[in-house]
Amino acid sequence: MALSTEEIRKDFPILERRINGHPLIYLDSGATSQKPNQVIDAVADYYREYNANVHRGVYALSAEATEHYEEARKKIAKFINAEPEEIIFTKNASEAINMVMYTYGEQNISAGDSITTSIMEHHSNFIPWQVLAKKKNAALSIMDVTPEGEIPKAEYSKISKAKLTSIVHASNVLGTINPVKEMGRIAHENEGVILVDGSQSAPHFKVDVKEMDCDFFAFTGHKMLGPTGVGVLYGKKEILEKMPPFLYGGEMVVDAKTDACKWNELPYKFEAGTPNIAGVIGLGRAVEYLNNLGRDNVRTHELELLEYAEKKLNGIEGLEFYGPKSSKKRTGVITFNIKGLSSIDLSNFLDEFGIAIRSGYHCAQPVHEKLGILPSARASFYVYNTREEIDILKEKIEEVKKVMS
Amino acid sequence: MSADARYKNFVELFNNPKNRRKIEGPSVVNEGRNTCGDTIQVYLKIENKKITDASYEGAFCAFSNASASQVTEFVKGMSLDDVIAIDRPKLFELIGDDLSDNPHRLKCILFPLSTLQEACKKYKENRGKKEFKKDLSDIPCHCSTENEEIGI
Repeated sequence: MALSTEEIRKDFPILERRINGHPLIYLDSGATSQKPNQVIDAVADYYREYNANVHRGVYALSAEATEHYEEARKKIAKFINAEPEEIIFTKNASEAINMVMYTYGEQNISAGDSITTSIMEHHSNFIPWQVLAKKKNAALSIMDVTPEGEIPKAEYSKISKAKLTSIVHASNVLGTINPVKEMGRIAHENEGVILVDGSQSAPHFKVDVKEMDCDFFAFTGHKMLGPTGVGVLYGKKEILEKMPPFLYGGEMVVDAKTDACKWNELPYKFEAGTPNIAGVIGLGRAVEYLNNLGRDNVRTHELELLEYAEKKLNGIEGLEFYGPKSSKKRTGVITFNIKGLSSIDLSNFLDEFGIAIRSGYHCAQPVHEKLGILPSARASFYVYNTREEIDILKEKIEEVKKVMS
Repeated sequence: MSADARYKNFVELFNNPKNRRKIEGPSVVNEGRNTCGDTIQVYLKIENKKITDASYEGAFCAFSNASASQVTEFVKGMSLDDVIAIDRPKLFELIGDDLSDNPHRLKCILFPLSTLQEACKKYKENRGKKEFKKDLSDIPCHCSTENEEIGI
């Protein structure tokens, strides 16, 4: 194995819990990851030792808090190969995407323009564009998927016609990794911009926004070992500078007169109000943790688990997998249904054995309907998962099947 | 409660559902959708303001199936107003479980009932209009319900 899970697991206190009398087997990191002691401590240390508002006071505690906060921004910027002023903290990826919709979208999309997205999007990268298109009388163009869950190249023509393309980097249902660099090139050749939703990619493999050449990149902290309530919007500096603010208030203004205001410089123009200081510091520590593990090692570990799980679960009668056949084109999620067994019954029953998997639409109803799939079961892996956990998953699925038939 | 015991009641009902079928020429059809994505179609045959037949179809979990089976069986012969008045305690009694140790599944058992009750309400509303349009009286009322745990 690429990672020493035995050592890693010692960092995650929650993995010592027993659920319904069984050791917890957490296979829902696609929804939110667990947090290592290092992140929990970083959050607690802020509150215990240097709690103060940032960028405001001229006293020691405030300076210390500001230093930690801005240090985290630098680490997070480096994590995706961006500049610190291009990193805007939000509360999650949904807010990051909505920020682009309400600022760039409002400013640049007009009647008759085209916005392109795909059918495999999470609702957070689908609904904002549907709403904006309706509001502006613009067209919403939706790239289709093959039965295996990939976007056919013929669909890319929809990118070339769009003023704005917003696409998921890795699908939270199918695991599909989209060729976002190629998509971005097509967008740019046609004077469009591209937003990449990296919620399911940044936690799992190396992301380089410069190499990818995307205009916006949105991701969330809690899926990558960080706290909830903190997300990130990356935007190219020259684009962010032209965009109007999203929210108004403190911090985002440098000169507030009764008749007009002058907005603060980047990234503060987009960070109105007191930010989630503890969350940002915690996310900075999470990034450091992932860097220490080695992001290529994280990817290798997940691929190994994915291939192992597919092989293992393949023997279950009536089980159908969704998503690309090649594991190289996917992240560490397996989504499936078992004939005659509802995914919610399965996941609820597995909880009796301490196993946590997700069931339902995973906030991605359009792709389920497109592929004619009922609400599905999803097991998603991360740095702390083991082959032994997958063995138990298989064993317990068989047990549930016996009871339910 | 062990997993087997918790599920035993539901599995028994799940494997022996009553009224899981379509009614030809229904008086009203209503479609319900649960937040998890499960869907149900409820069919009612109504004569003289009383339900003479009730059935359901759809794609749903064992808990919804058990609930739909019990509820459609129970409402046969009842007036629309009595059906609309069915409350949670009654539903729990019909199913033999109040799910107090598995509250995540409450929505699963509630949505077949709310879909059926909505069907009754829509039918009442629709009939009121139809009294003035007698030529439409043979067309069943098709409607759709989201799971909002209405009135139960």
